[in-house]
Amino acid sequence: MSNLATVFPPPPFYYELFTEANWERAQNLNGQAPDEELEYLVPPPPPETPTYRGFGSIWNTEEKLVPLKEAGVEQLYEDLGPNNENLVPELKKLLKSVLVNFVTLVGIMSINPEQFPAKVDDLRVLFINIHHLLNLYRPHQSRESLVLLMTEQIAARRQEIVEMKASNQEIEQRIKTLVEHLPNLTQMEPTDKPESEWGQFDLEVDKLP
Amino acid sequence: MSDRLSQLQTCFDQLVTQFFSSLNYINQHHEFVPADGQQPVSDTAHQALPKQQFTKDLEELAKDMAMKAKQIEVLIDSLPGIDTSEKLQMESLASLEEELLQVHQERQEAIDERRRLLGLCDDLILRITKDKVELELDENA
Repeated sequence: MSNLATVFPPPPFYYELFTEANWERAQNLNGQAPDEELEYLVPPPPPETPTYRGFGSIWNTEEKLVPLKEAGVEQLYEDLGPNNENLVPELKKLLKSVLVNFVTLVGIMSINPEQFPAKVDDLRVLFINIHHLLNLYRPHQSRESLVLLMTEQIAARRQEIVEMKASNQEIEQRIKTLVEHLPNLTQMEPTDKPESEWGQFDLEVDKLP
Repeated sequence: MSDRLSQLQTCFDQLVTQFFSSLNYINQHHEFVPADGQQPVSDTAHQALPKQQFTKDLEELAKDMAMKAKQIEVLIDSLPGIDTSEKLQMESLASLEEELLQVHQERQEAIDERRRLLGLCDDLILRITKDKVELELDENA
């Protein structure tokens, strides 16, 4: 039971410091040194070392895709080139290699099963290469998705504008007809309406096509 | 639907799983071949299948694998924007951003126009109501 009780630790003591008032004060510090109460509300500066510890592992301060060589895996593909023109042929080559290596693995298993670890390792390296190659392409795909999203948004907006303009024109037309059918409307003097507004209204009506 | 890259990565993972399950299947269901002049070995934990069935299953597994490989090839070919460079992408993003702002502006103009028309309608309604009330007053007088 005592083990279970320690599974979820109580919240840290400083959670009580996160009040609306303190939060507001922390926002208005403007670089002044925080007092004891606000110490926990000001985020610490980012680490200056290239790596830091967190949740029991070591992390890189700078978020980046570690090149295969640094990760200790052999790079089997050619570099992508400036326009990623090598991506498709290299991926296909890797896929073919995977298939061939699997067939070889099955052969080894049926003739001399003890020798399988080397082949399995070949397959492992191949798959790491494939996944790495695909991850390299991610920023490119993100940009491409953004282009697509914006194009769609522009098209939707344009459609909306066209529809709004059409209905605006129709309304304008109806108002015009109405004014024409009620000629006494414009003859009568407005009583408690300011002159300027009616004058503007007449002008607007005149401007109608 | 997830993006193409994630689909591809999932497909590759599925391919590995197929590799594993195929090997596992062969290991579980192969027949025992007797060595010269000896009785074939037997194992109660092993479910050997008749040769015909076994070969048929192997063919099916191989076919599935080939299908998966083809699917992967199709996905590779349909990776988005494969023939554009980063510079081109950034350029089109910039021009799209400008266009988006402009469209936004046009849309705002259309909305303003609608508001103006609504105001006109309000004026008209007020005006007509007033005329009607005055007419009734005249009649009553």
